Amino acid sequence: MADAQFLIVRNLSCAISRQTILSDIQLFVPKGKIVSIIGPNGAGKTTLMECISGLLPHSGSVEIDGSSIASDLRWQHIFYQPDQILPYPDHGVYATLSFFRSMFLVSQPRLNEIIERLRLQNVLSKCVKELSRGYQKRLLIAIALISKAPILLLDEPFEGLDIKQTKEVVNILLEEREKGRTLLLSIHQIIDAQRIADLFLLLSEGKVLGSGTLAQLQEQSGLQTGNLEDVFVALT
Amino acid sequence: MKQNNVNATMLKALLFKELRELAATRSFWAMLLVLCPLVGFSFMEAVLLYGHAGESILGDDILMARLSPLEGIVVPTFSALYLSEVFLFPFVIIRILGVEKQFGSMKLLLQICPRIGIVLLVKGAVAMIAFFLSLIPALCALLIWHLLGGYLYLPEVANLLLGHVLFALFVIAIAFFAVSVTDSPQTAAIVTLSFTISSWVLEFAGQNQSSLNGISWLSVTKHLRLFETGLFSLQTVFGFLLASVFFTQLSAIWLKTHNDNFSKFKKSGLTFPIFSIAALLVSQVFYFKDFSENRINSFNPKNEAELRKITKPLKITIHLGPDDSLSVDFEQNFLSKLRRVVKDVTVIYVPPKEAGAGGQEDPKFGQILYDYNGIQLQSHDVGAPRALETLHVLTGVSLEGEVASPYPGHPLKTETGICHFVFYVFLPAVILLSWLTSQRLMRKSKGVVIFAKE
Repeated sequence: MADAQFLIVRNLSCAISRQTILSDIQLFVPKGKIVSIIGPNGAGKTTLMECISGLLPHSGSVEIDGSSIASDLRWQHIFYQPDQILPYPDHGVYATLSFFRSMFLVSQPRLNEIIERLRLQNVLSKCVKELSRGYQKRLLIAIALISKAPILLLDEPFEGLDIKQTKEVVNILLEEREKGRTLLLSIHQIIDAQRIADLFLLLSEGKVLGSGTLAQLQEQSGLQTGNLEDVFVALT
Repeated sequence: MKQNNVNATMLKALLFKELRELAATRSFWAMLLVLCPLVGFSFMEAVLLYGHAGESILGDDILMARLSPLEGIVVPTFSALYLSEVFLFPFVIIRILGVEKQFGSMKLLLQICPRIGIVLLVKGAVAMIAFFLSLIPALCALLIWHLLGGYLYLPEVANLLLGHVLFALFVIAIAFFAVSVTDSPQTAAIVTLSFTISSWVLEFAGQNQSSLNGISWLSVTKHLRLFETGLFSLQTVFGFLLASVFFTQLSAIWLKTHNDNFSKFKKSGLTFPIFSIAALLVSQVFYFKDFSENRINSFNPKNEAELRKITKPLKITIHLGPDDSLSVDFEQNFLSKLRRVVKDVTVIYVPPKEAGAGGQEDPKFGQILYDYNGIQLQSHDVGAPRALETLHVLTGVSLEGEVASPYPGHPLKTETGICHFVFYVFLPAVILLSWLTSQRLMRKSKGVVIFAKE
């Protein structure tokens, strides 16, 4: 089964200051799918993303397209967009996006397209620190979309967005999936996760409670019917 | 798959991003603003004192020959810059790197430019640009001095500038290291200041023969002082560069987040022997050049050429304490110059025994014993001419008495009226204007206009 997968995480464990944050995580993701990592606050979602992206030390392996990739080389395949960061707060929004465009060697039309898709035109001359929470989040998503990495890891991509904005971002991410990108989204709102993801990874206290499609999770939890929330409650 | 190379477009983008960051850094503009009156005041005081000194020794050729603009004007003016390098510049550097950690963008930077060495190189280059901009008030002061009719000997000024550039490089490396091992810019500032201030304290302790004298060579300030005397030491240059590379290397190790602390300690530990060997090699470098116009740090060229012929070990035993005023004179006028020409010189200070109950003094008190090739000569004279004569007899090299320097001295008494306007009004106004303009330019990005047109 694992052979058909694009991204494979095997036996991933992580400890920070001698405290185990993640324990023996397994994850199998086919190419062009959206995986939602679901769990309560403190479940280890962000740590898992940072480990997969190679930013945090961990044990276990991360395989991409059949090859095990060392932590310091994963940037070639994965781009991870953290939550609650404020890149270059004193710089203009356009200058910030242009910087990432140059670093990712992306064309100007592509940047313009991303700016339009995320409706950032009106704030281009503002400083990053002057943006509202929603715009800050859209800027972060724009930066992730500028990246050419085939795997995107987005930490809480809908945090700070209103319902309309969330819907727009969901559509943008679905388009990226259609283009063949694989996305891992850390989401704590189960309803948002259900709206966008093909696969789910339920995480609690650093351990995997269940993974797969909704049907597979229902089977794992012993429920015949029920939504993701019911499955999550049943598994915890 | 992306290439592991950082190409010219990326480098340019990184550089412009860092320049924008520098322009947005308030501590940078504050440093420039503070430097104007600081440098101005030091310069004006120096001009005043130099004028008085010249006036009081008018007609005395010997004293006039000791009146050097390097010592009287340039060094005091640059002392204000030194204060900025110790107390203000670290905050600018910490901001340049620390902002990435503070606001989380380091996580992005490590993904888009995983070669942390390049990131540090670009940030270091921008920090050096900040340093060069901070030279403006001091260079203005020198220009005013020149316009007022003052004399400047460019090689010694350039040598002093080199010293400050090396010192700034070291401060940058220390600040990078501090940011890499700490979690907040405040802690990084404390770590950096503790380095720069302790260097100052160590230098001070070294001057006062305290218990810290033995480790005063660790003071980078002490090494900067060499350049202030017009002396160029290749060993010191390499030492500064090596220390800067060492701390930058440590910064690179500690900034990488994918390694755990044990691995970082291990890698840091591995760099120690490499840099220790490099330091050992640097300590063997023996090249000095006296750029001072009055050659205050050297014997005359003919004597130097003869002294270089002394290849066997020369041992000088001085029956005085190292802090005795005679020893200090001997050190300044003869030994320090000798060490820079003769490679194998050992100087031993034997403090005299205290007078006993009978009140008898140590019979060897003040004796200087020269030992070369199995022959010993003794003297009580701490003057350079007599010491050279002794060496001539002892070693057989042809040394002549040190003739008075042909250096005429450059006294000048002048008014500093215009300086008040330049340093207290004009330069601060220019800096404030540049600050405001840069902020406006950062908002009005050229790209926004292009995008709007599209």
